[in-house]
Amino acid sequence: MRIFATNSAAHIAGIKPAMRLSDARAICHQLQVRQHQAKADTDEMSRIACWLERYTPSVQIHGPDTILLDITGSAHLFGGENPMLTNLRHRLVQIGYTTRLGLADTIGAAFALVRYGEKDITIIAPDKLHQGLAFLPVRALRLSPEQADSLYGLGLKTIGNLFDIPRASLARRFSGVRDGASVLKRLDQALGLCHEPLQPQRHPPSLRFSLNPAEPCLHHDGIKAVFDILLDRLLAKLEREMQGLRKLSFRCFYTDGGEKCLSASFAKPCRVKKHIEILFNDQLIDIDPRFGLDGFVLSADLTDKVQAFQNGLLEEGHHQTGKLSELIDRLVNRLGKDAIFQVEGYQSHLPERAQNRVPVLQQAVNKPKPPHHPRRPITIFTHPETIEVIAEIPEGPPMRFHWRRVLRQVTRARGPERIAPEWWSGGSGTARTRDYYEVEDIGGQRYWLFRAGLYDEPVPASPPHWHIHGLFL
Amino acid sequence: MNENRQQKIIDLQQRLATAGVVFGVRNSLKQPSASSEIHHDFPPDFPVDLVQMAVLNEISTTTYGDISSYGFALMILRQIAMAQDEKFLWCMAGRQPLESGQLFALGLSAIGIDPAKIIQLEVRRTIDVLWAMEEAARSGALKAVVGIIDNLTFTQSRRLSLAAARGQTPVFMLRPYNNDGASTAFSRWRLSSRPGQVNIYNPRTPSGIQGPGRAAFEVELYQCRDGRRGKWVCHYENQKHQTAHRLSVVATTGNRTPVSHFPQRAKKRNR
Repeated sequence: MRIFATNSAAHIAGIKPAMRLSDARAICHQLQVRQHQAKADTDEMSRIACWLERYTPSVQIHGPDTILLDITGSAHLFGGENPMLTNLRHRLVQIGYTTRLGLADTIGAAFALVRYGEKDITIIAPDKLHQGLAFLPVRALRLSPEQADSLYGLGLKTIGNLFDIPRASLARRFSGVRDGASVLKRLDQALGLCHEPLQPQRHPPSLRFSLNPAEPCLHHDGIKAVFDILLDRLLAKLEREMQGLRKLSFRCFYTDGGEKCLSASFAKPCRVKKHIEILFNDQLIDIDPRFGLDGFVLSADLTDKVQAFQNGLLEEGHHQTGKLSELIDRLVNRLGKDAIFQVEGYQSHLPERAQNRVPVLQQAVNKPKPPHHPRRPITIFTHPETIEVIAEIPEGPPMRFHWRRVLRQVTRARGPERIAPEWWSGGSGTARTRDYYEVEDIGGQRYWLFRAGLYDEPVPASPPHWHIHGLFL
Repeated sequence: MNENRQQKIIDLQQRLATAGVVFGVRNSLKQPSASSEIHHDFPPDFPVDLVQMAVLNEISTTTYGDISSYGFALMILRQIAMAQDEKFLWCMAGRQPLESGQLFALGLSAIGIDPAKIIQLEVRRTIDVLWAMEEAARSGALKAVVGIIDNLTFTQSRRLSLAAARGQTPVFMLRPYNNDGASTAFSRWRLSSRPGQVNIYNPRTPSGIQGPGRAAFEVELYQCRDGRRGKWVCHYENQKHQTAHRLSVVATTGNRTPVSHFPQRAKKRNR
């Protein structure tokens, strides 16, 4: 275990990041240790970045502990650069963070000031970029440790030392061409000779709308009206964001502290109000208002991109696929997600593994098509049923067989088609080779039978037995 | 007086026309259809227009466990939903998937039906299947709706008929062999498997059994609102230039016994 970060007390005691925990304990016996939670850190950083948008719209999180702000054009709103930074620092300290601020013309220079500047707030005026950076160590240039070490080894300790050296000879000092180029690039970025844009974070829009009526809702009409208002707001926002709903939930809060959650899911991203209302209407009527409902939250739990589509010239409304996805939604929301499916072939010789159930209306990924078998039954039993068979010779098709208590006389037969178990699919040792026969009985019905196991198996587990696996047309 | 009579006739005709719309007859007859192609796959005197109408059709079988009704329905569906993104709904309830098995993707592609065209519904209760069928037929989003239904009441079948007319969607009910009771189905069909032809090019089994050739079945239209009736013995035709075992129904030329010298020759070759 290694130290990730320290507070000032630990820092004074001589504990540094990346130190071994046992070493740190040896230095300071009273050291208190907490487990580092990277996820919580990034969450907190993005929250702070969000909050920092009060100063400027372009905010970027850079690395685990740095946030970049482009304050071009917004400093005067706070009375200039200096008051703005003071204000910023003051507020962050109030929240409870130690902060270092640097302001310069380039990202590289600001970064260097924050890391290696002498004071907590440093500002370099636009025309003094070289002077401001000259006395900072070279590792302030966002170099890799190896690059910084080799520069240090050459006696180039500060950024100012790099200014006078010809670029070509500086690049030549490094073994790799890439290394040299990247050092020069970092230097250029810090001095503003090379463009480095700031990429502001785009926060996902909040798709959660709530409403607290002045009086608790006691009637369905009221609930319906609230739902309508919230839905309108949500749809307007979705329209702007070019998003469609995949999952929507409507939560109602009782005055006496209960909660009721209604939800619906959509086969395709949807923004059609009428359709959403149809899905929710039954559920809304089922709500028992009891002593009243005083809080409502409508939130889009899952959204997806949806293209705006053009209505046809005729008053046909939305076209066939729209109608179909709406139908699927109604069926899925009432009968359950597993009730509706499509089947697709799968590349396997074992018939029971040769098809998969897939959800309806999912974009088909280009999967390899299973080989075409001209002789496959139209229906198949998930669990092959055992049959009793009278065969003339052991290795041949049956002459007659009992299936579901009816004796069936075989008049036509075709086979065998041998299908061996798939040894690679982690098959248990119980799987046996099958010989499939297509047979027809006197009535003209056709069956797909198989005999599991061979008569001349080297280690016969049990005598072969017969099953019916499917029905032909 | 003569004018009066003329007016009355026009009146009556209009009323009939509106009535026809309610039952989904007139409207659906007007629907453009690829009838030339459909004729191609059916016997010449087969009422092809009947299975394309937006009405409720009932297809039952004569014996337990016979799935010739599946074949007949799938063949009709293949004709109705020709285009790429035209889909149909296939509903099963309760023990049906255990009774006659689930649709098999490889088998469907073998007879020329893309499995992606079939949206399947599998629920526990028949009542849910009926609800889903009505909903689907009413929405008009599908080319056809098929349900395997054990029992239904007159009112339920009436609802299905109306939904079919409303959504301009043909609805097919596959009924079990002991199907009886009143229903408002526009047409009622009865299917039964028949001994198929033999494939003389298949080697005989040691006991002298020949390989199965084209499967045959008998289809009977025993009730229809417009008074048509008929009985056809058909088999699934292997078309030229198509994948083998493709589905299309052609009247049999007669149940001939296979010519005797062919199999004998085959036998000799085997030795």
